[in-house]
Amino acid sequence: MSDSSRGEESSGGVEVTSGGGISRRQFLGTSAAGVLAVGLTPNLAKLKSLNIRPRAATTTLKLISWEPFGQSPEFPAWTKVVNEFMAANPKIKVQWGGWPFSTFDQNVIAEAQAGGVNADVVMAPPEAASTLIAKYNLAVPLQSITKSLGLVPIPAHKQFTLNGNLYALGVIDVAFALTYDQRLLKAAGFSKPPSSMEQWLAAVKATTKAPSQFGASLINTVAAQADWWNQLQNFCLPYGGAWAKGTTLTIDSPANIKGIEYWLELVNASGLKGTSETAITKLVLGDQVATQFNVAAGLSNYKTLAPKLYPNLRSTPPPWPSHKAIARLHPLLVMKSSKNVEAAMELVKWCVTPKNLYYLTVTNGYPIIPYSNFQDFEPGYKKYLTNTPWLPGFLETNYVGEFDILGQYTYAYAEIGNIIATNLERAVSGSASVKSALQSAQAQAKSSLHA
Amino acid sequence: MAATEALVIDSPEAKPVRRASRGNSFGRQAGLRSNLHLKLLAPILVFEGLFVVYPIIRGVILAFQQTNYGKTSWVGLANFRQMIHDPIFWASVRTTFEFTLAMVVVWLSLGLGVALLTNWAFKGRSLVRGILAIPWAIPDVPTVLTFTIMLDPNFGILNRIASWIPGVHHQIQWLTAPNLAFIAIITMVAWKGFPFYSLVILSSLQAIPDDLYEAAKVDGAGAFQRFRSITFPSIVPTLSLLAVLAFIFSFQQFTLIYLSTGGGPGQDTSTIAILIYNQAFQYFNYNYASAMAAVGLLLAVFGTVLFVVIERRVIRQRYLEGGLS
Repeated sequence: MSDSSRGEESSGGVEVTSGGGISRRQFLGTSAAGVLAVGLTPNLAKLKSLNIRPRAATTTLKLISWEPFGQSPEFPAWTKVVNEFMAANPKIKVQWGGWPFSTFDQNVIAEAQAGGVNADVVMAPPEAASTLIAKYNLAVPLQSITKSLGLVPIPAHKQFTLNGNLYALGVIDVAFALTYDQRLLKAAGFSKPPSSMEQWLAAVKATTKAPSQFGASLINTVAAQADWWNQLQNFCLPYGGAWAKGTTLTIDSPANIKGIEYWLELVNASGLKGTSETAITKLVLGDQVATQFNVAAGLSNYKTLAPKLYPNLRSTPPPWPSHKAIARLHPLLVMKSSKNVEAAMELVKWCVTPKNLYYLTVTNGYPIIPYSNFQDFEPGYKKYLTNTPWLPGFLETNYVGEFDILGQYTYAYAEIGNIIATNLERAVSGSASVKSALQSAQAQAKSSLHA
Repeated sequence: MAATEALVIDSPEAKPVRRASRGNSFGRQAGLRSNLHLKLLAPILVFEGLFVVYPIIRGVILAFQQTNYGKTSWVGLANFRQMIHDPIFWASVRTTFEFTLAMVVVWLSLGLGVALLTNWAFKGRSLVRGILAIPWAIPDVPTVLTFTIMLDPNFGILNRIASWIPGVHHQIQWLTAPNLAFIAIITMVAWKGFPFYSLVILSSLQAIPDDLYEAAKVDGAGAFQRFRSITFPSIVPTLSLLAVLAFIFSFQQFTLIYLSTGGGPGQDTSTIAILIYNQAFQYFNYNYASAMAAVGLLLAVFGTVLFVVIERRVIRQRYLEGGLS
């Protein structure tokens, strides 16, 4: 049985429903209540004589996320925070729901297209959040929460801002930077990490000793299209490009062509052209790759997954002059359609309250907290940042959001990514130039998105 | 119960007793029996209606609509017009037919070859037949993982072997180079599916009476003549049925292609099934995807009917109605 087909999962005693369906417990409960009602109907008159007081009304909030699915190691921390919220607010009950991450966008957007998302609070990947905000106008402004807490959202929140209102608050920041294995770089004669594009290319060439060691882990196959695009989208930034500006697609702009040509040089030099993502991941975890363009979230898992690499894992800002990289904010949103908007906002506020957000960050290893003044609230966070040896590069990176590189097409993140990746694969295999691949992607995206 | 009743009814002495004791109930029972088939069919009809027929009808209706945030508007043929002017759709149709025809030929040839080999009597034949059936039993995901590792440019066994051939560049991009990706897909899908065809053909081969071969041998027919005049005409009905099945199975192939190439490079391995998935679940154009699915359904039905017509008119006339030549 696939994760997505599960009706109910039990995780730490937390009730989870999949999507808009009902859980097995709910189903059994409802059935039992029905049977009981049928049995009691003739005795209703007798029941009237009993003095039964109604229980205090409770508000049930539905929080949808991918966290309860796929045995996410992050779920226990989220459960703890949400359970504490329920303990602090006895009249509010939070029910988890959602789908696995791989199908989360599809399901949320399908519900939005069908008329509304069946949830009070939604945890969403950035493009799904932007779609719910900009395309379907389903979210409630949340700036009052950051104001009341005194938090300053980082600029990547711009993608969730519409007409001056902030509609989503980042809780998980999947931010990119250049990570490297200091042992492999040192062995190749590099005492410092690459600080220019030329240096990175030189380091990749010098550390590639196929088939035992490789210079960079850059995904480049359409079979891993989602992860390829996730990484590749950053490579419009080396020369200051963007995939779209406002409502204008700029996929084949000169800056993008130069950026992708540079990316292709790295791929060719890395020795991992055409290699599957599974093999690349195995090489990375096996301490056989010198540099990675990686996200901070999840790197703490390397402590157990890659015990040889972890002690040597370090980071540096992207080596292009702007030091810009994408921060993929996964925020919480409150749905307009919720019958309990106030309670839902309370829950969001609880999750971004510095104490709780800090707990989630440290426990789950989301090292970048998307609020620029967070250190002022949590002194422990500063200590955490200082004591994590692979973090400094992430802190020096200049983060931009999806809106900055995809403009009004943020909602079409996956579509643009699919079009670019499928066309670019021809350039990777050498049967087309980067320029012609991006020109063909531009034409295809234009006809598809403007149809 | 039925046997007892039959005995009672067939007994001449019992007949009046039965009629007297049951009276009108016999007629009622006969009525019940006449409706029994409908009652037995009802669950499957309801199931098919709800979960097969209704979704198809709903999908076709969606193709004529545009749905946005719960608001559905009738757009007539707009989605189909867009499809007609969409070069990617036509590229996918072409790829689908190329892939489908290739698979029909490869599956049937491979299946026939393996069936003929395993039809020979040799020691350990049952074991060989069992081993040959393994690919069919392996789920799609492990199949793709195994092939992607085998076809990996750096670590794949195929490139290791290829590197021994003089003049061959050892980093061949099996799954990402335009023409090679298509061949790699055909190889993988063929490997996965051929046991089914070989097993069915084998069972058909075993139904041919040995007398025919003995008589042909007496008449001096060689191995090729025996195959041409006895074996092949005898298995033509099976082959034609398998051709239709191969067409349908390859037309709807999705998992192996999607997981290994994702439809790339470019649109080179993007069949209609991949395109529909991308339109629906990557681009969220459900209505346009429904229009594509409706056309895909028509194409599949058209292809199947075409195969059946060819089978009836050409093959049967030549090999069956015309007698064994």
